[in-house]
Amino acid sequence: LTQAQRAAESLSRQEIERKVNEVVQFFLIMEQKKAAVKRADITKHILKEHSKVFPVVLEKAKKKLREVFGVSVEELEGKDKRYILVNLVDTPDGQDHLNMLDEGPKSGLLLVVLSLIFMKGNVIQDTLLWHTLKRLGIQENQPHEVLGDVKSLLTKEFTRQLYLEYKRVPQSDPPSFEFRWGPRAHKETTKRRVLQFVSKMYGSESLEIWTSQYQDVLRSEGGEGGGQ
Amino acid sequence: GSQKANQLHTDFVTFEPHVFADKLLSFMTGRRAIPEDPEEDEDEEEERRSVVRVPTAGWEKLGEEARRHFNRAPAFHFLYGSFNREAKARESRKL
Amino acid sequence: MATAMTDAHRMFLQSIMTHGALKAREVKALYKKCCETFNRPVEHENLGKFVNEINHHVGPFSMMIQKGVSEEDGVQYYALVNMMESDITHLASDYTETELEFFKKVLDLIVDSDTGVASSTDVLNLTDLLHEEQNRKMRKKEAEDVIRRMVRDRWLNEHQGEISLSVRGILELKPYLMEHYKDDIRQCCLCDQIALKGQLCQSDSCEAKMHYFCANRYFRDKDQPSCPRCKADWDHMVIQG
Ligand SMILES: [Zn+2]
Ligand SMILES: [Zn+2]
Repeated sequence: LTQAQRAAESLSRQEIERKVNEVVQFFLIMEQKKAAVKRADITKHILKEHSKVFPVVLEKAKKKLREVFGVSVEELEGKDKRYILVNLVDTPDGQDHLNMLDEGPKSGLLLVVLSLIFMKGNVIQDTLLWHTLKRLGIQENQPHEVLGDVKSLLTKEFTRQLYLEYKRVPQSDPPSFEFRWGPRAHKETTKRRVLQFVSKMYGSESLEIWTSQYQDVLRSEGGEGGGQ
Repeated sequence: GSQKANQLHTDFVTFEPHVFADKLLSFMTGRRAIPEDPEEDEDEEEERRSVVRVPTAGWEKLGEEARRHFNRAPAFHFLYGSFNREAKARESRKL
Repeated sequence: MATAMTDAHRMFLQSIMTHGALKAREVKALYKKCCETFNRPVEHENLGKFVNEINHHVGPFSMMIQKGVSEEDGVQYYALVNMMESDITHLASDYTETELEFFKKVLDLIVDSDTGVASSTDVLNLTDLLHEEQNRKMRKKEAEDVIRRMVRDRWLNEHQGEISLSVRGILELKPYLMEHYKDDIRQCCLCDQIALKGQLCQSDSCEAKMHYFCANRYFRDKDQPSCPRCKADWDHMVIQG
């Protein structure tokens, strides 16, 4: 028996079941803000002194989230265990059973930024990004009529949600910053789907016309060898 | 034959952010992209482009397109239980 | 053994989780789409069974899809509601603590008004009360945004500047309403459901209250509308929802 299973025996079956149900609820509530869930959060709010049962409880919660809600719990790279939810329900016309509330424009902007990052070799200078967004009527330091404070959206909200990474270029003086895809972007979408969007904007179906980007797609699908 | 032409074609397609931005503009606003104007110098053209305004409907359209490209999970939303109940009930206000 | 969840169940559940509340007509269309998407036979008479199957599986997470009638127009809605308060549900972040305190004040106004509506000006002025009583600062513009979001999320309805609690709000907050306001919450004397938005009997000694749409039905074929309880004349105004 693993240590976790032995620990699990210290709790009754009903108590384990209750902890599992609370973890499921916890994941779905944290999804309100699309925050990543840390193992420490689950221990603090739910397991408390029974932290050793975490592996058993997490496994059962994952199963329930998959079977009841159609969402998968994805673990993110990094030393401290962090998890996010990704949708497993695959509808032909792409998720339009979900109500976007008024998040549509924001996710539109996110897709544009992810496209620019990917098409420029998985990293883009913030200056070039703002210069490009200016052509869409977005000013770095002016609230946008529809999107509001775009700078804080890109550098705070989307980074907190792990859609984007916004880092200073080391030893850059004056300091310059770069955007990259965050771990949630890699889990909620793929390079192929973003390339399909870009091609669609150019009115073409083919992905191969973007030579280096299409190689990147193939590498990312190549399994182990594929880079992020 | 076409293979050769195709090969040539792919070498020339390098990604230009400003071209992509114009494609997005015409997708969102339905208008053809802002044409290049030879006489205009760099700054004038820059100025003309930056006063662009995409209506809300344009951003909504882009949002509808974007939703297809993300596997977003639904969240559990509620009000009851999000605030703690007062210890005691409120005295009746009815006369 | 309860029927297992299928992709059709999951698609339906995900949709209602993100829509807050759906009209019965919209629910039937959603049910049809979910069945067709995952090639399940569309049997509308089985919608109730389908929803119960989902409720069986989501019950352990204090969730339930409930049906309720809108006080605005008597139309039936479905809504996914949270059934229990716990340390975990306190971690919800759709609204801040101050915004929730503001919402409670809006509820006070709605419950205290005889017809279950609060004018948007009175609602915006609650920010002063919030400041006096709890020293919480909320600008009128922020209050406007909270109301906008609560209408968007189907907690409140706004109709010609009058704000009322929506069917989703009533369904989910029923335990809170009954426990916090006790006798100040009246039932409709015709359908026995909670009656916030409705009409009171004219006579002071009588406490009868009716939903407008229940009154429309009840008085339809009566030429001398009178209170079912105390028989006093009922000043019946046919209100379109
Ligand atoms: Zn009634
Ligand atoms: Zn009466």
